[in-house]
Amino acid sequence: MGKVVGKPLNLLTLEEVKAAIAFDQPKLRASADGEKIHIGGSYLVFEKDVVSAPGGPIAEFNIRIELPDLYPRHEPKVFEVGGKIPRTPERHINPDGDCCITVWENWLVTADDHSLGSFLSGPLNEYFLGQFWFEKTGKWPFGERAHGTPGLEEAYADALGIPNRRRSLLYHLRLLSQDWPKGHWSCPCGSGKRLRHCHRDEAMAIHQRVPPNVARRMLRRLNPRKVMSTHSRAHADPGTGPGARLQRREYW
Amino acid sequence: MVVPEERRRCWTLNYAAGAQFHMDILPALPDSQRYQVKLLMEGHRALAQDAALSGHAIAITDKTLPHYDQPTEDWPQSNPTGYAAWFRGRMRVRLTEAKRALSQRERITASVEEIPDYKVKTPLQRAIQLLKRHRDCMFAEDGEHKPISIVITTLAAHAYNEEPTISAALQSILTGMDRFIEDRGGIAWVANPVNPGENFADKWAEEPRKRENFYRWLDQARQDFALYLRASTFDKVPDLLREHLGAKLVDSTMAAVMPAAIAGLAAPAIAASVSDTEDMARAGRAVEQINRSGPQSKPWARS
Repeated sequence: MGKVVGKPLNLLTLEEVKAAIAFDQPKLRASADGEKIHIGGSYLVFEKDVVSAPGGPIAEFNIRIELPDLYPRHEPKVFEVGGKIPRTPERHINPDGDCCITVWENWLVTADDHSLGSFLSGPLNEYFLGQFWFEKTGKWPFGERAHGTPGLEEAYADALGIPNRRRSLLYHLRLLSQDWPKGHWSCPCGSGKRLRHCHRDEAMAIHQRVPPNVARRMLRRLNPRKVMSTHSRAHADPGTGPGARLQRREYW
Repeated sequence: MVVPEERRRCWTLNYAAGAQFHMDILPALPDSQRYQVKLLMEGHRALAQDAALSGHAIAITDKTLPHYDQPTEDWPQSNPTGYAAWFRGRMRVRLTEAKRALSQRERITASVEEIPDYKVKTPLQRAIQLLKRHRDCMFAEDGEHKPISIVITTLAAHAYNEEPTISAALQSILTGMDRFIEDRGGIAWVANPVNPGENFADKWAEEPRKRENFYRWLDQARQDFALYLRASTFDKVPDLLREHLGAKLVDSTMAAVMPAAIAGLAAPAIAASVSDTEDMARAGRAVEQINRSGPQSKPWARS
């Protein structure tokens, strides 16, 4: 546990990327220009655990992937470049082909294996299988998230395993952003008791699943500045307020 | 009979002219004790104490060594029986399964243990046959530096995880076989699993082309087999794989197996709509599988 934060961060090498796609996605090619690794070509959609189907893959999509240096901490960007998916908001794709695969931090928290191979055969396969399915049936087979911040909130609440209420979610995330959940903070359940005398075990269980760096990133993406502005205003210098400090530290 | 031809280690018995076969005969003496003591001294206690893996080692002749006609401590050692036992251990489940299937098919009353290994072939063995065939065709012009069979066999057996089909075996092997090449102080090492001090890839150091050829072959094999298995329909063997398995052999094999497959297809227009329905049915199964094990993601949008 503490999967992403606990591990020393090894940068993905071109060799590792090539190994991850070598057999499973033979129509993708990986290349490196200076620092960045790019993957491009045709992505094949398969049934799970099927090595070869007599009829070939279920579907193919032309894609381009930009891998960030800090994969898996940072999410890869995937573009559909074949024009196979209509650029409408209901298709979860931006006009430039940028595919909204999933809420990244939700995957980091809920999946055990964050290797590139696992991403390619997990969320990416689900996304493109979903696109194929939607084209034929008009339905998303695994559900979909609301767009924008409401979708983020929903995904984070799911990942934490708590009801989706913004105030409570933000409070949980502040608690989880600490290296260790603070026992003297009031319990997120709203009982008014201190955490250590209330839902301490539950908070520790979530802390085990959601490492502080992931919680901090979730918090930053939810853009809670408005909520925190009451805090910040109390400080004369906006550069040293707790909000500002949080902002800076969250850049991992 | 033609007189056997004496070579460095073995004697070659040539079959009657015209038949392009020969048999190599290697004189040897049982020598397991010395072999096991050596293993112990090198720190491989488990191997040394495993009778199946090291109890049948032999001492072999080598005419380049002095007094090779006298059995002495200087004779080189070998352990083919131990290697075979290790190899069998890498496919134990599928070997037993194949023998059970054979005995049912042929209504053999003998117990599974009594069926000799050579009567059946496991997915590991079939996959290695395919890989070696691919290697032979790819290096038809450059036989001297082609990747050697013992390296391919050893790495393949390591990477194999009792997959039940040849395609799944190829996937595991081609994806993972190079991970079993160790780096021992900068030297690429493909250890003999029953004698870890022996490096099957020892020639790579003095002849870099051998190492390069191994990786070139692995890349090509990955691509050729994956393009067929992952990206093509059953009836379309990609050009490069066809070439690298021998065009003639591939064509005749496909011709032999295709009529049955083609009989299932009707006129092209109907075939297209059939395959469309089939794709939907497969997509449906794929969706169901994912929903059963729990999807990992849901599409979203930044704004």
